Amino acid sequence: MRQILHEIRRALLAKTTILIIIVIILIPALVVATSISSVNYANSVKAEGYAEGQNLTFTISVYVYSGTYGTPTFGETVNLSVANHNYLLTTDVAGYANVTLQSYNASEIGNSSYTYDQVPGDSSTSLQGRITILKPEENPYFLISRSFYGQNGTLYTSRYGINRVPINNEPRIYGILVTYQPSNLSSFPNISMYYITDKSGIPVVEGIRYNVCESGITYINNFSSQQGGYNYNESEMKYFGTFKSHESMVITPVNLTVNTNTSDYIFEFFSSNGTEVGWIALNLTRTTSPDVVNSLFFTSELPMLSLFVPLLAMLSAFFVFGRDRVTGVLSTVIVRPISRRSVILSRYLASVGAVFVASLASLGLSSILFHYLLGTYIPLSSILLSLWALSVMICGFSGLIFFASSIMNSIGKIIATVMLAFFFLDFFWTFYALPAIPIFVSTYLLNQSYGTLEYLRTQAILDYITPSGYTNLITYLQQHNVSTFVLASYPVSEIYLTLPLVLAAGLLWILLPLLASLISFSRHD
Amino acid sequence: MIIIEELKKKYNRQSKFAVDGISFSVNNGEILGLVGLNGAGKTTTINVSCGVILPSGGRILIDDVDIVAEKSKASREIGWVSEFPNFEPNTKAIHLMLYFSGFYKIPRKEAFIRSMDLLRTVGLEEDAYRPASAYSQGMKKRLALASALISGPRNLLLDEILNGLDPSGINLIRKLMLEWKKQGKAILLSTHLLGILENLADRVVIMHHGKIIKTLANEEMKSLGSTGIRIRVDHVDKSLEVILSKYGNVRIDGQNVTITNISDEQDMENISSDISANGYRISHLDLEKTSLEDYFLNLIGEVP
Repeated sequence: MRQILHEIRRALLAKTTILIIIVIILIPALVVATSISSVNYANSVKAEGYAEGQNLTFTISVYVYSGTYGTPTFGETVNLSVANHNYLLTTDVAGYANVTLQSYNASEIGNSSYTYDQVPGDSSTSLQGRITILKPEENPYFLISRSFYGQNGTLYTSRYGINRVPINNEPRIYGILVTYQPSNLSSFPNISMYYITDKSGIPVVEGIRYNVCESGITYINNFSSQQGGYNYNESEMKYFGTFKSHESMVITPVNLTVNTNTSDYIFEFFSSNGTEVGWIALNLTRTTSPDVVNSLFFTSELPMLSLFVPLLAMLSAFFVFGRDRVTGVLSTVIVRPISRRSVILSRYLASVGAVFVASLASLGLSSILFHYLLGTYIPLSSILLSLWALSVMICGFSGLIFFASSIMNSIGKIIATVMLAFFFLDFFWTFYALPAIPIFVSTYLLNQSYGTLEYLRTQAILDYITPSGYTNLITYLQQHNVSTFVLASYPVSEIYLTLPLVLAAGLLWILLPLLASLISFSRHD
Repeated sequence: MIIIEELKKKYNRQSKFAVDGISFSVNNGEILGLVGLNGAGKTTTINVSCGVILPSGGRILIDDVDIVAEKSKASREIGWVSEFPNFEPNTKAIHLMLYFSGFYKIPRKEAFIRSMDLLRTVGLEEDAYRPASAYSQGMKKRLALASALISGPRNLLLDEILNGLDPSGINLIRKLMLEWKKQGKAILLSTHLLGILENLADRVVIMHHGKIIKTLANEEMKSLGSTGIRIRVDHVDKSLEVILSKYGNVRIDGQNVTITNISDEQDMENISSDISANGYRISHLDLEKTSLEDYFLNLIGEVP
């Protein structure tokens, strides 16, 4: 036993083995990082239209911006309709479509509207809105409230609209979209953001309220504020930053969640003289649903693993056993007090163990990456089933090369076996999602009508035949469909897709090549 | 002690037996030379005997332990040097030595001391931290020897260990073998350098086409064949051949004449006077003795 462990340790520490481990760990990590960039959220578009002017001259602006990421649009076409006349306007780099009209009175301008087709020509995706005529005013932080204007004095409404938005390329967190109405102002004022963590323990829900202030008098002092049901002391708020107002800006408070488990915050915005102009309660962490992560994992990372792991497992088997046997290096070990069976078994365990541990680390790292980037781990059941499928692949392909190495006496022949096994049992065999390409073995075998029961059965059988197919089998089990195109409408038992059957068949692939190798090497030269 | 009984080996069904039913033993404190042409079966015999390859038939006992049935146990007392030693690429010699030590449960500290001692013995101390793959063939042979000795085995199987070594290396191995012999080790040595065996081996087993065709004891090697004489004369003709044929076998090559199988040493003196008396002039004369090499070549039918 000690000799076996000695051999395993030696094989594990070989440079080629370490290199293979690194590759197996890093490739999926890169795939995860790449696949996560494909997580797109519906890029909703928002628009606001307003007019400024008097008598018969009005400047009309329609601001079109991304409601998802808060970025302004550019080059989008907006249809402005004024008194039965249509004007096609185009947004500039700031997201504004501007036009100055003369000969229309305030009533006609006030009744005008704009239309923006998110998908050009598709009216079902249209955004429509009325043009609002803004009153002349000078307060850079507040507008005279149109709702209350003329009733019991003057009320103001904040120029700032505050919303929660996903952050582009930071899918794990939310950001704060601040929109500003700059009408009648030639410059933009500064605003300062303060924050406090939610101490109440009550989960923060998305919410926003325009802060309505009498003459804008709300200063930061020892003042207990109650916002949306939360009690907190504004004097305890921490300064986050000062920003120059803009029509639309996204503030990413991502650094707040570093080194803390807290994700619930309340943010308040203040003018330069301390007047509160708006607030938002925000959960910074946005978790992606396990189904989305599961789907990403099964459609991006696992296929990549099923492509690379067999190749690397076979290369590891070649370097650990095949090459040493052919070059005579293994003889320097066989002559030691260790049985031939122990020699091959220890090298097999080292080779398979290294690739398995690397695969395990790869899955773990991927899961951590998913959590870090999307906020959700890969479901445990998916990881366990994937490990099973990877074990079948690793043991199956490694066993084939161990067996080939035990009966062949030429490096060229063993390398050829590696390549043939890779192409015909992995690459050409399993990529039957491309039936149009006739070089794929499965194309010849899958000759039933597409999507029929017989087709699905044949496809399942094809997956049972090669160790590479087991990632497909467990994908079917987890995703509840068969192949990229065909949604299974049959009971899994009818297409030979039950968990016990998958496990049992996989066990054969794990054991048979190993047994063949053991017998061959122990009894023959 | 190494006992080989009716050993047979064929590499595949279609091929002939590389070794065909040979039997011999190497006693403790004995050096046994294994000689034969290429393909005679020497390397196969050694490789099977040390358990590197499996026999097709017969039995090999290492200190009375069957190398096939009890491989691990038998291998504890085996030290093997391959004809073409090969080591893991990019691995330093000292690390290889420590790696091999691990199979014998030698504590790491002791293994290091022992490894450095052995590397010093074979002249590789200064190259201990160089990758073995960068070694010359001779250095690989020395490293293979050092690694074979790591456990202090009682039985040594050395396959063409002298090939690729410089004269000092050959001398070193020769001295070491005599030392091991004194220590009571059993040494099985295959070599093409038959001259060395004459003064080193206790016995020589001559193999041909997988079979043993002769076993010679050291005393037999020393009394091999007969003395001969080689002369050069001013001219060679039929009458000279007739004159000389009464002393032994005559072989003429131009002006060179070789007389072998001279049965009586007195004749050695008579030959030169007889030649001169018959009017021939001798320009060169020397004596020669049939070597093990000549004997071996004669034996397998390839007369030089």
